[in-house]
Formats: sequence, structure tokens, C-alpha cells
Amino acid sequence: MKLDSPEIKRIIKERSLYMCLECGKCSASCPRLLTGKEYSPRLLAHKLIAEPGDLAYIQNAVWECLTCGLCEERCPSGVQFSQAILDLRAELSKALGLTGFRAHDGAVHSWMRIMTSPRLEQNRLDWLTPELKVATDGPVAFFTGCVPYFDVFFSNIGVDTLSLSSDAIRLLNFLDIEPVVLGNERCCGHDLLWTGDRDNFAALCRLNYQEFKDHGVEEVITNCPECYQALGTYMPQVIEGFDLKVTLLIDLLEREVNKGGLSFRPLEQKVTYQDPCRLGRGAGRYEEPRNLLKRVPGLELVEMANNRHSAICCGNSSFINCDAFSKRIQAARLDQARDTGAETLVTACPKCMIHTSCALRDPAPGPQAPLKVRGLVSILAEQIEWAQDETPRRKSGAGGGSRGDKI
Amino acid sequence: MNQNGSKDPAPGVLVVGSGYGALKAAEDLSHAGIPVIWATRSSQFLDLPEGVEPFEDWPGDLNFQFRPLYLRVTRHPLVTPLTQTRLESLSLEDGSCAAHLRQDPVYVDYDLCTGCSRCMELCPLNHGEHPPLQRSPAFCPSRALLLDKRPVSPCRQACPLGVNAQAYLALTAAGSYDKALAVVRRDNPLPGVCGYICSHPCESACRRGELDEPLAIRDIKRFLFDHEAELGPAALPEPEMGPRGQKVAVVGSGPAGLSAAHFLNQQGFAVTILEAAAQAGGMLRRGINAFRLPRPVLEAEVEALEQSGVEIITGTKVESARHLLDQGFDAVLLTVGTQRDLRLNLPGEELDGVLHCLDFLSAVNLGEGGSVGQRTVVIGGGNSAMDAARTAVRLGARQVTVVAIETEYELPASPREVAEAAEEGVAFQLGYAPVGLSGEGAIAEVSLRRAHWERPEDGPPRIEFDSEDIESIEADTVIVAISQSTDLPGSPLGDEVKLGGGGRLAVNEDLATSLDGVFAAGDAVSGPSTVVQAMAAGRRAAARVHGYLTGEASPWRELDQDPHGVGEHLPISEDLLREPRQRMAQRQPKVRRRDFEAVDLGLTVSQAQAEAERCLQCASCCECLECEAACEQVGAIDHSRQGRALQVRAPAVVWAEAGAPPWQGQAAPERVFPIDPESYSADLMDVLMMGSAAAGLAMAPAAGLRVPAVPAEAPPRPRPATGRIGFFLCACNGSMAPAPALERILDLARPVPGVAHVDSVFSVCHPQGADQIAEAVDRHQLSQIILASCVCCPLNFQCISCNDQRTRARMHLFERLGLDRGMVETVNLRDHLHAGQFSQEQIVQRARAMLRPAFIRMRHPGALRMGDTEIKKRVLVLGGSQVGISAARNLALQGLSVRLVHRAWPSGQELPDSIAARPLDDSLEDNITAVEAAEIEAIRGVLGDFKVKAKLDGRWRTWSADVVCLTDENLIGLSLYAGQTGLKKFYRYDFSFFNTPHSGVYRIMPVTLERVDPWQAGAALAGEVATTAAKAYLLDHQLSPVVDPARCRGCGRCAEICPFEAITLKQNPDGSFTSQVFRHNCVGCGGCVGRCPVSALDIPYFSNQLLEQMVAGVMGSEV
Repeated sequence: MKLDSPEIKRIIKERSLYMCLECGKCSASCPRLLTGKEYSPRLLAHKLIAEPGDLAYIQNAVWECLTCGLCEERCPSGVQFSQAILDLRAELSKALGLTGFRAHDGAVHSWMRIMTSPRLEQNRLDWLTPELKVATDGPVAFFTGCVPYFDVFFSNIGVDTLSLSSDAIRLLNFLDIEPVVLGNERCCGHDLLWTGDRDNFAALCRLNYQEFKDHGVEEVITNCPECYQALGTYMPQVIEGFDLKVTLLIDLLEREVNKGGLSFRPLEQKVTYQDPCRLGRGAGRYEEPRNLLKRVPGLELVEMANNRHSAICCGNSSFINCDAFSKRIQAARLDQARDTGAETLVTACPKCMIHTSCALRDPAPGPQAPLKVRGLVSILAEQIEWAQDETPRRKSGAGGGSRGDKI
Repeated sequence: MNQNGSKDPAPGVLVVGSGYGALKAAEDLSHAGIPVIWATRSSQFLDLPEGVEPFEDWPGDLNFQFRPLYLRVTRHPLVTPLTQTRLESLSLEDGSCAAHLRQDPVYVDYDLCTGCSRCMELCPLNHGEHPPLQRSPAFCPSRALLLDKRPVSPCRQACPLGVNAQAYLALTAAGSYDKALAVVRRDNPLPGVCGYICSHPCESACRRGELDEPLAIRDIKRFLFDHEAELGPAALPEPEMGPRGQKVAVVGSGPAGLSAAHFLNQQGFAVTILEAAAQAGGMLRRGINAFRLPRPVLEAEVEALEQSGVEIITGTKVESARHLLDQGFDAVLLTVGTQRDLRLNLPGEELDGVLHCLDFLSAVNLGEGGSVGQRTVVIGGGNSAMDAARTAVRLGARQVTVVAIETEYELPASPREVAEAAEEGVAFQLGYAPVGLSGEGAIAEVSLRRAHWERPEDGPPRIEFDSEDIESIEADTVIVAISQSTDLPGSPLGDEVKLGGGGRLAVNEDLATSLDGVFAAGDAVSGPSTVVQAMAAGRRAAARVHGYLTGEASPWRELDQDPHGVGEHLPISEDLLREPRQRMAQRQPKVRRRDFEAVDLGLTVSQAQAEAERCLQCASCCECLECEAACEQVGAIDHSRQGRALQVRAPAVVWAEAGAPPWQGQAAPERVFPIDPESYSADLMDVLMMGSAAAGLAMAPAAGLRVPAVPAEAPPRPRPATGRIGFFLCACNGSMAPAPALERILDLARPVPGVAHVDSVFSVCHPQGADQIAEAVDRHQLSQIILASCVCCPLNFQCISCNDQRTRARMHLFERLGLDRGMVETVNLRDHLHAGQFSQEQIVQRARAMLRPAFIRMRHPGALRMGDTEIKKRVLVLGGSQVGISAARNLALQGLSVRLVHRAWPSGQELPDSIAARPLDDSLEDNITAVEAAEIEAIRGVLGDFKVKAKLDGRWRTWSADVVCLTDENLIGLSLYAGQTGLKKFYRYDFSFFNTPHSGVYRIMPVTLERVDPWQAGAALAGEVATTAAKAYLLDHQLSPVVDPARCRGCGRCAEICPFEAITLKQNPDGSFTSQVFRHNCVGCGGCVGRCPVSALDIPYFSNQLLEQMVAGVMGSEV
């Protein structure tokens, strides 16, 4: 097989691969290459244009990319490398099937595909505790995403991504918003989309859209950068006449903070912030999270060597390609975090939480320097200044919220 | 290792006894490369020594935990396992021990038994109180059948023919009447005749008589015959041999002649019976009344004999045996019987009305007339006299009196005959001898005197008169019934052959007469006897004729020359209820005396059943041989196996038996190392420690026998490269599924693309079954095999559910026949078909579901990893405690290279004062490299390649060692990782209590030394260490995973989950880690593969990709 179909050519053109100057800045910045993997965005562009017959190389390179977007950030020619990978994966899957190496034996992708069943019956609201005020119908919905599943599947690394959702609802309640939380919401499909499975991504989009419509939803608030991209950017490409407003929670919070509607109790802590790729380079939100953190009195935000536009990926995306080099990226990133002297690594994406927690809890080589991983909204929800009579009754203290043990 | 061969085993350490200690000793020895001969009195090897009670706190499933170890030891190529074997003598000769062992007969060969259990299904006694066939205990991996065979039951012993009454009673009780009758006919061609009139010595011997009444064995035999007769004509079995072309003449058709003719006919001789009378039967016809033996019964049996090929020529009196030889007979057997009545030799015996018994009876029985007067006196007390008396009654005599010298209890006639005669009105005048017969021309009176038999020790019995008085009774007819003799003296035949006393035929010990080729048997040789004795004599003569004509040994084993069975007869249970024997319905005396019809009507079905169930089954196994038939192809069961004596030369003996040892009261002799049964009262650890200690001590004298590596039995076969699949379905000796279902399963496989050969195998775990597969592989050039049997995985001795049969299948196919393990895909159908529960259709569908993945799998063969790791024999012992010195010296005596560090301490710690103050032992052997003191920084590396960094005399150096022993308490920290207890290995069914989490590093825990003598502990440690250190190679596990270093995150989750310490993390130059698999530690369980979050580990043989393809295939529409 030769990759010279009109569709491939269209991708090369649309994603500006012809613009590549072969300067090599992309390779020089690629975290994969920097940790020892032979990987070069430049060479992939070259192969696609000049040696489309080298299927083995191209296929490997298309699937090996982290899609972190750092190369794109550095590219002087505006090559949309990550977008090209997204398109190429879909295209290669069409011809060669869903290949690429899936971590956790593909279990995560399997559950996402299971969710494309219209007859699916989920029990995904068990985690909602009584003090969280939610509605079943209404104009504003909060999109939970896969966190109830993650916490069960990754229970062995003790990750608590559900706290991101419960703390988000707590903050919304503070703003007198009682969001709709849908009992039969599906995965946003981000990981299927980014692993080339466009059909099932589209199926999820349609089911979710119908679910929103059935419950009178007009605006969807999400706390996950990947969900934000999937719902806000890619769902409209699938749904004709898409008419939902998709809002990122931190945008809403920032607006409210700027209005002066929020104030925080002091927290004497030194923290550093991990820019999620989909939030930073993907959605351009570099300062919003930092601004919110800075509102917490006493909290000292220290930056890692690589931050904002040059932040380094948590090591993995879409649960594929986790390998020895991912681990080295994670180890390097965690070293950067420790080098700041911070005791907490704050991030705004459940995937970053999972991957950093996993690396921190690896049994080998043995005990590591302690570093807490917390979600941005959890810190905000924990420190928010409630009026005396408004204090919500919490089951547990710090950052807690309640975890649904069952889904 | 066939335990029934007669060869003595090669020299090895002799382990005597069973139990955990013995198992441990046998394990350590065999795994250290030393041959072991393991003999136990028990039928299995975990039987605790006599008198030992299991420790209360031991888990109930302890024996199951030992199962994999049990299997690995008993199937180890260096172990000769001998069950049911006693040590008879033990002596020291030329510095080694010589032992005489005796093994009881092993009726079920556990090297062949497939565990199919068909024998148990067929055994008629299987549902009774004492099923003779039982599976060995569930923890015993062979699950081979054990056959409880006691000494031959008394009834069978008492039968002159050795007819197996116990077996036909058992089969009757089980409702198998035809099989029961066939058992009778094995030894007795005249079951009908004997069923009616046998003198049944079996019943006199019956042990049930001790409880209530003997079994009605004869009546059951009659029932069986009558039952058959209702369905069709009687039939004897087909001759066992084809025609031999040799002709034998049998002269006379009485019981001896008929019996001899039958048995010779069975052996393929052309037999002709020559009978003087008009009809065959001899004394059966002449002498025995129809009301006792109805003529149709006799005629049916004679007819059956003719049908089976014996020619009977009647109306021909033989006057010359020589003439017969001249006519072309190759041998002649004279069974002419006793045809002449003995006479009283009293005056008046010539009077009219004085008859003689045989003349009288034969006239009546042959329909030639016969009448009696109103008053008939019968003289004599035997069965013939009773016959005569009862015949007289039936002929119309008003008064019949039996006169006999004997008292009632001495009468030779059977009590039943006497009683029935009395019922029919016969009077008895007992204790009288006739002294005269008188009358005018005709008999009128018999004179009698009181008398009794005098039986002096040194002479023939004689009549003693007790009174001078002469009494007399009136008689119109007198029948003299005082026995018979031959009519040979003076006859032409009598002139031809030499006669002995009483006119009987004289024979030598070969039953040969004075004429070459002429033999004789029966009453003509012995004088009058019973039917069954005459038949037995006929068979004995047949054996001599057979020997004369063929030169071969007798095909019929007489019981007295066939010792078998073990132990005592089954005890009579105290719970057994007394139950009277079943009695046949009988016509009333007043009715039956009117005619010659049968007196008894025979047992009904329910009576026969109930009566047969009364049998005590004295010998447990009844030898009906039903099981042998079921096992014919497998050949595991052989009831005729004999015990055997073995001679063993052993450099050392491990004694694990309780009770009195051969050296009772003395210290155990040199080279005998006992495992004290007292240790069982303490703790499992102690028992195992004692086992290891005994093994360790025995290893030094046995070091010369050590084999460095177990040689492969067969060179690997070349594997054809072409994609030709063979499908083999194990029938499990007919127990896998009904034959039509098996055929349909084979049909499923035939059309599958790539399948070149399809066949069923009667039992894959049987040597011949494996041979069949190997032959087919060669003949059909098969490149891959699907083996549908009970084998579920390619692992070896790891899983607790593995069994002997599976292991044997693998041993035969891969070790003995050298098939490539990688070419065989095994499917465990046996455990999943549940043939008994499902319809044929369901069975086929289940098989289809199980086989589909295997066929899909054939398209994606995975590679097995083959290889070994060479290790040397360097042992580093750290710590000069008594344990350390004992271990070091023992290992050095075994020829291993030992470095002993007297005082060692981990870096950063102080040497404890107790060790610093300990005096040095300077009496060590030359081949121990002793080091006085060293600081140990760390132990790095793996089994077979340890690097120990040590500082001595102020300088650091690195020692290399294959195995490291930590024998001082202060060093234990060197072996333990944080959070690890070191006992995981224990649960790998190894029960290796010296192991640390670090394979190859051994340590002794302080708690052990609280209970065990340190010298013993040191020997035990040496024994354990030798299992590794003495080997030349450690085999890699074929299913060990490979690590993809590019994918491995070095997270350590695999190492964390692996209980076998097969995975460690290797640090890369950049500081990252990568998993590393030690293939000889790996057991191939795949736990790590499942745990790895990123699939960096994979087992090539069962790769993730392969499984995905199989799942896709199964879910899809393939096959």
C-alpha cells in the first residue's frame, strides 16, 4: 500500500505539511526524542510527501506521537502537526484497521466503545452526595466525563479524579447554579477520536447530543480539557445544526472572580502547575488557571522549568503508547516539579492526574520524594469562602468530596 | 519404572517409609541429582508413619498442597517409587547397604492406569460396603486405582475345581446372571449338573456359617443354569485355541470324562468321547435319580459339550486303548469309572430279592425296569444308599429301612439327602452291621449286629461289633449300597494296562498309565468320589494330556499352586445382621414320593438375589475379571500379578518408618539416617527439616552416584515444516464420550482446512497411545497436532490440579518420543464434556466450542522458549555458626566448592559480641576455603551468578558464588527486601523453608534454631542447597515472558506481583529501569503479563496478539 490517496494528499495540504522547512525544531523539542526514542515529526512530514511507500515508518510514527503539540508550538512554518496526526490516524484506521498499541490492554477504549450502545444502562450517579445540588432537567448541564470509571479502573494507584467533578459542582452550587447531571451521559469520545476511531466517536456525539436535548440542556459546562475540546470543537463537526454552548469551568470561575463574586481562604502552600496539553496549547488557557490559583491568599505558585507554551506532556495521551519513554518523560517532569520545591503538583486535567499519580506510585525503584497531585478545582473548592450559613456539609476534609465506589 | 518388571533398581539412596519427611528427603535427593529408591508399605506416599496423628493445627487440605511436589518427586526420572513394599532385611556390605525388599503384587499398574474408571463402573462390588476397586486418595496425583485383593475365599478354595463362587455370587447379586454363569463355566463345564447335585464342599467352607448359615451356593448355581435354560439352550464358551490337529480319545462319559473332554477341546484338541452305554453321562445317568438330576439338565449339558466341538460316540465299549492309539488318536484318557457294585460277601447274598445298588439304580434310571418288594432294606449310608432308598419308595415299597453302621452324624450321605429320605418315609436303623441274609430261595430277613467303625491311625478302618446279640429285620428286597469298584480286572482293557489296588487303574504322578500315551482319571483311579472331585480329576488329567502332547505347562492353574491376595479375609462386620439362608420351594414328601419328578423347584429371582447378597465377599476382589476386560487395551489391571523380591544396593538409607526399626534398641547404623516420627508431633516445619537433614546427611556417602543433569530420553524429532495438522481425540478408554459422539467430533475436524490426519487414541497417557500419535506424525508428516484429551496446559508440575495421567502423556510424547512440545496444542475436553450429563448432541456442541479456538490457534503458532542456564557449584556460606559449619562441611563432603566466612557482618553494622567471641573451628576439611572475618556490603546478582562485595583486611574484593547461605542471625537483613517475609516460596508447594525472597540465597531463621539441633539444621540446609547447587543446569521455563525494553516503563509492578522472584529490575545507564526475567525461576504463570499496564511483557507461546486473534476468531465465524 502506498499512502498517496487523495485523502492523504488533502491532509498534507490542509495541515500545511508542505510548509515544512525541514529545520528540525520540531524534533529538537519532541519529548519522545528527548527521552531517547527515535522520533521525528520532520521526518514523518518528509516521508508522507516524498516517500509515501514507506508504510512501516509512517504507520509507526503516526501512532507513536503523543499529540502534545509542542512541535507545532515551535514550528516556524505553522505546520499543524497534531491535527495532521489526528487526521492520519483516522485515515490509516480506515485502510488498515485500528492499530497502534493500547495501554491497559485496550480496556479503556473498550469501555468507550461499549458506551456507543444505545441500550446501555449506566449507574453513573452514585457518586453524587446529597449536599451536591443537581437537577435532572434544565438549561445548564455539567459534563462529568469518564472520571467515575477512571477511579475504579485505576483504584490501584489511588487516584481520585471524581473529586474534580464533585468539587466542580460544589463551586457551581456556590455560584447558585444547580446543573443538570445526566444519568446516561456517554464518554465524550476524545480518546476514540484521537486513536482514529471516528465512527464510534460520532456515535458517542450523537448519543450525548440527544441526551442533552432530551433534558432541555442549552449550555454544557465541563471541567476536563479533553471533554471541552471534544464537545466544543469536534462535536459540532459531527452534529448538524449544533446549537449548544460549551463552557470551560475555569472560564466561568475566572469571570466570577473578576466580578468579585468569589473569595478564598488562605492556604499556606507552595504549588506548581502542570499545563495540560489540551488546555494550554490546545485551548490557549495558560493564564486562567494561574490567575485562579493566585487568588488563593498565601498560596505560592512556582513554575517548572518548562511551563506554559513549552510545558511538557504528562507522558501519555488517549491511553496509547505508554512505554519506557513515557516513563522517562514522566520521571523528568516530576523531577522538574520537585526541583521547584513545591509540595503539590496542581493540574487541571484528570488524565494528567492519572499519569502523574501512576508514575509517582510505581513500585520501582522504591520510595520517591513525596509530591501531592491535586486538581485545580479541588483547591479552589476547598479554599472558597462560604457565607456562614452556606457552608456545605462535607463528608471528608481536604479536597475530598465523596467518591462513588460503585458505578 | 514399570514396577512389575523383575529387574532390581540401580543403586541409589533407599528411602523407607512415607509421609512429609520422606517426601522432602526424596525431593532433596532426587533434585540434587542422586538416584532414590523409595519404598513404602502403604499404597501411597503421604501416608503418615504408623501411629502418627496429624498435627491438629495443620490445614485440612495440607495433602493437596503437597500434591505438585508429590508428583514431581514420584515422576522424577531418578526416583524409583515402590508402594506396598516392605524392607525385609538390611545389612552393611563393603561400605554400602544391601537391602532386601518385598513388594506385594501390584494389581493395577500405576504406570499404565489412565484413571478412566471404567473398571469401577463394571465391578459388581463397587457399590457395596467394601468396594474392591478404589481410587487412591484425591491428593495422590496418580489417582490410579487400588485393588483390594485378599486371599482366595474359602468357598473357592474348598471347591476341587476351584470354581469362583465368590465371583458368581457377586455377579448374581448385581443381576448379571449370564456373566455369573460364564464365571462358573470357566472352571466347570457342567454348571447344571453341579447346580442340582454337587456335594458343595464350598458351602461347608463358607464363612457365613460362623454368623448364621452358609450361603446356598449350589442353589444359586442351579438358579443361574435354570435362568439360562428358560432363555435358550445351554452353551459353553468357544474353544480358546484353534484346532491343533491332535486327537484325543476319552473313554467314558461320566463327570471325569466330560470335564476332561471339555478342557481339552478348549485347548484345540479334537476330542472324541467313547461311551459304552446308549447315552452319555456315565454315573450321572446310571447312578443318579431323575428326581435329583432331571434328565433334561444332563442332556442339555451334554448337548452343549457336543455343540462346542466334542464328539461323543455312544454304544461303543472300548476294549483296547492301544487299538485307539493305532486308530490315530494321539492320546487316550481312560475315565471308565467304577461300574461294579461291591458285595457284602455275606451268606445269602445270592438269594432272590437281594439287589445291588448300581445295578438296581441303573435299571431304573435307564428305563430297563426295576421293582422292589413291600419291605425293602437298603444296606449302606452313602448318597447312593439314599438314592436307592428313595427310589424304592417311589417304586412302591411300603416300608423302606436304611441299615448303616454309622450313627446319624457319621453318615457319609449329605444331611439334606438323609432328611429328605426320612421325610419320604424312609426308616433308619443306624449303628448296625448286616451279618447275614436269609430266606427260602428269596430274601426274607436280614440279620444285624450292633457295630461301629474303628479307624486305627495305622490301618484301614474296620468294623467293630458292639454286641453279640443278633437282631433281624424282615425284608422282601435288600439293596446293597456299599460302594463300587471298577470292572476292569479280567476285562480286555484291564489286561492291557496295569491295575492297582481294588482293581483301580494304576497311574504315575503324571496320571499316565503303563501304556505310553494312555492316561487315566476319575473314580477308576481314585475309587468312588463325588461328581465335582471326578471333574477336577478329569481336568488334572487333561492338563497331563495337554503337557504330553504339547510339552507346554498346564493352561489351568490349580488354586493351590496360585498364591494370591494380600492380608486377611474381610472381617465379618459387627453391624451385619443375621439372616437365614434362602430355601428352595419343595414339593411335599407325600406328593413327591409318588413319582420321579424333581423334588426342589429352584430359587426364585428375588430369592437368588437375596441369597447372593448374603455373601461376605471374603476376598474383597472376587476376581470376576470384569475390570480386566474393561482394561484390556490399557492393560493396567492384571489379577495374576505376583509380588516380587528386590535387592537394592544403597550408599545410604533414609528411614522414615515408625515402629520398630531393624536395629531396634540400638543406635541407627552408620549410613542409616532416620527421620524421627516424633517430629510429627511438633510442627510441619520440623518434619520437613528432618527430611532435609536426612537427605543432606545421605548426600555425602551418595555423592558418587550423582548425575549432573538428567539426560533426555530421546533425541528431538525433526519437525516437518509444512502446514499439516493432525487431530487426535483421546477416547480415555471409552470413558470420554459415547463412541458415536466421538465419531462425530472427529467428523468436525476432518473438513477443517489444513487438517491432514484425524484419529482417535484409546488413551493418550498410555505408552501405546503416545506411540500411535508419534507414528502418525511420522507417517503423515504432521507439522502440528491438536490433542483433545485431559491435558490442559504445557506447564510442568506447577498447578495443584495437575495429575499423573497428564504428566505421563507429556512424558511419553515429549521426553520419550521426542515430539516437539511447540507443535502440540492441548485441549482439555475431558474435564468439560461431562459425558454423563449431556445428550450426544450437546456433547458434540461442547466439543466444538472447545475445539474451535484450538484450530484457530493452529494458524498462529507461538514459539516456546527453550534453553537452560549453566550454573557452577560454588557455595558461599556467610556465618560460622554451628549451622554454617555443619552446612559447609556437608556440602564439602558432597564435593561442592565451599567458601565459609566465620564472622561476617553487613556494612554499617557492628559484629555482635556473641559472634566475635565465638571460637573458630579449625578442623575444617581442606576443600573449604575459610575466611576469618569480612564486612559484607551487598549481595548482588542472581542464582548461579552472585557477586558479593566483601571487605577483608581493609580491602574490598568481590566474591563470585552460585548460591549464598546466610547462617548467622545478623546477616538475615542481607536477604530480605522491605515488606517481604520470604515465605512465598513455601506456598509454591515446595515447602522450602530455607529460601529467601532472593532465589539462590538461603538463610536460617532464628525461630528454626529454637527447636532444631543446629547440626541437623546445617545438614538440612546443605540438603536444600544441593538441590540447586549440585545441578549443572537450570532449565528455563518454556512459557517465560519476554520483555520489550522499549515498552517497559520499569514501574516494577511485574516484579511486585511475581511470587517466584523471576523478575528483577535492571537499572539502565540513564537511571531508568527495565524488567528482567530469570527464566529458570519463572513458572510461566503469566501473572506479570496480566499486571503490566502497557503490555511490555508477553509470552510468545500465548502472546496477547495471539489471544486477540483467537478471540476474534471465536467471536467471528471462523471454523
